[in-house]
Amino acid sequence: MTLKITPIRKDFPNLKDKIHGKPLAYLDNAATTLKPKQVIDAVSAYYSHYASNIHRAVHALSQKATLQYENTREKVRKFINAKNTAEIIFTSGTTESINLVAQSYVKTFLKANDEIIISEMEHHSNIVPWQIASKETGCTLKIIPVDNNGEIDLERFKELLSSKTKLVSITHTSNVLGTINPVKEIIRIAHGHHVPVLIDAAQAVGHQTIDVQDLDCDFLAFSAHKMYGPTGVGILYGKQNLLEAMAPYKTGGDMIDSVTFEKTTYRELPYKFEAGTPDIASVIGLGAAIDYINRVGLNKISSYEKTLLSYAIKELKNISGLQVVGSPSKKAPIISFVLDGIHPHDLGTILDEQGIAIRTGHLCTQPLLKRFGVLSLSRASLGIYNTPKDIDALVGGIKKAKKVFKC
Amino acid sequence: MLNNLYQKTIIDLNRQPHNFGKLEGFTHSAEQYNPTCGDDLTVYLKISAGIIDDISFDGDGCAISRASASLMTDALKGKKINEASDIYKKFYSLLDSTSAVQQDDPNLKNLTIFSDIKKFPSRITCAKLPWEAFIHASQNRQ
Repeated sequence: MTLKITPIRKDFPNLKDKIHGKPLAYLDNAATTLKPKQVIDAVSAYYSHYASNIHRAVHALSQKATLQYENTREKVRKFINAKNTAEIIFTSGTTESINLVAQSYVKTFLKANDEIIISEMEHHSNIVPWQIASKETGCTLKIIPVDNNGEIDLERFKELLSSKTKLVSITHTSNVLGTINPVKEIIRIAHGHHVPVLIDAAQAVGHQTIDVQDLDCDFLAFSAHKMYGPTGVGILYGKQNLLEAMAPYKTGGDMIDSVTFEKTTYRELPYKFEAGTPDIASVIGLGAAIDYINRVGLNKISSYEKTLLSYAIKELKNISGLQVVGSPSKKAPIISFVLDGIHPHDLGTILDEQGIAIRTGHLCTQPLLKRFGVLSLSRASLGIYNTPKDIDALVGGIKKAKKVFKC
Repeated sequence: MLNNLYQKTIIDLNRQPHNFGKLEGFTHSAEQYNPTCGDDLTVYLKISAGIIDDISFDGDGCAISRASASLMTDALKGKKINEASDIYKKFYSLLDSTSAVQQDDPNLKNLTIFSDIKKFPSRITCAKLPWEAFIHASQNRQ
């Protein structure tokens, strides 16, 4: 563990707070991460010193805001190694990024009897938009099954691909199992059939290096708030030729070239997809979050989180009656588990009383939970500020819950 | 604070719920699902001449919803429908209102053990889940 945790922890004001009188062990990073003061300061600086709209006025405030906003686009481009900034669209989050493709791509290019392939481990946000778009166009949704280890069945995927397949949309990293999918391989196989692929990278960015050119993905969606940035901002990366061919998703101000009552022409990429005033402050905050991650170093983050994950799994597996769901060969720092005799909601409440934050419930993946025969789960997910102490607190908390529940 | 929520009664009822299982010859039933947590309970009623002759529940839920369901079945068995509806209203005001509720109301029986749930706002829906199922069941003749 070459990561220096003490200075990192000092950057996150939330970690100084006491929760129910106890130090906070924040283990709900897959839902959203805490924010470092560098991000909070960047958001605050915009509101305090140059609050103004972008791409419009000639005054100094607007020019500074526009510059910071567009600088973030360049930071995102570099962060995921996109070819150019025209391919980086700011949205409200991963969900909107996926909806944008579902509406603007699927509806433009798909027709009845075409097929879209997703997997059994998708978040609801990578299921429902395709379901709706399929209904509207008469397409069929095909599902790649997940095995008992929590891995995609690649052979079944190959069988599902056909001349009818027009899009594959799959998660890079499962928000429940932590499975890191062989997305590069999936993309290669799909491209062999000339099928474009969307990657839901919400759980991957900020934890692993993402290189869109190396992956050769056609679309990539992720959120700022799961990588130490503000809520309210997501990114859609798309290959330029695809984005250019797609119709606008939302329409209105800032995305037009000229408007008459008879006809409107749209602006060039990426602005064609950014109608209305965006969440400027949060985009600027995202820029600070990328700087923060780069300063710490993604490789260091990945290897630190991997070590901590191994420790967490070892400790949790020592608890009698606790079963970790899924054991994929490549796993992100996300652990979902069930505990004999204690419902996840009760565990969540008892842990909360001890200052330990985990997620409980169906984790927005009802089909996956059904696959594993459970109605709800408890999930601990790690971030750069977590330490073995947080894991020890979790283990102690679970043991206390077992005492309360006499099991 | 935690001990107020997870009292011995709730823990015991979670392990050994009252009136658990599908009711033979039920006349009414309804399933209630909590989409935020996945809890899924079904309430069965045997109603004749406006009286709840028997009541039971089954399904999957947390300790709070299972204990609440257990005590609900205890409180409603043998009651007239309109009496049951009165108990339902009193229980909900116990959970929701900031005003003092008559805790010694004999009809509420052990249900008052849920009075501390106000301090755990995210868990109020757990205590209500079986009651929502009951209300739907009472309007849902098989």
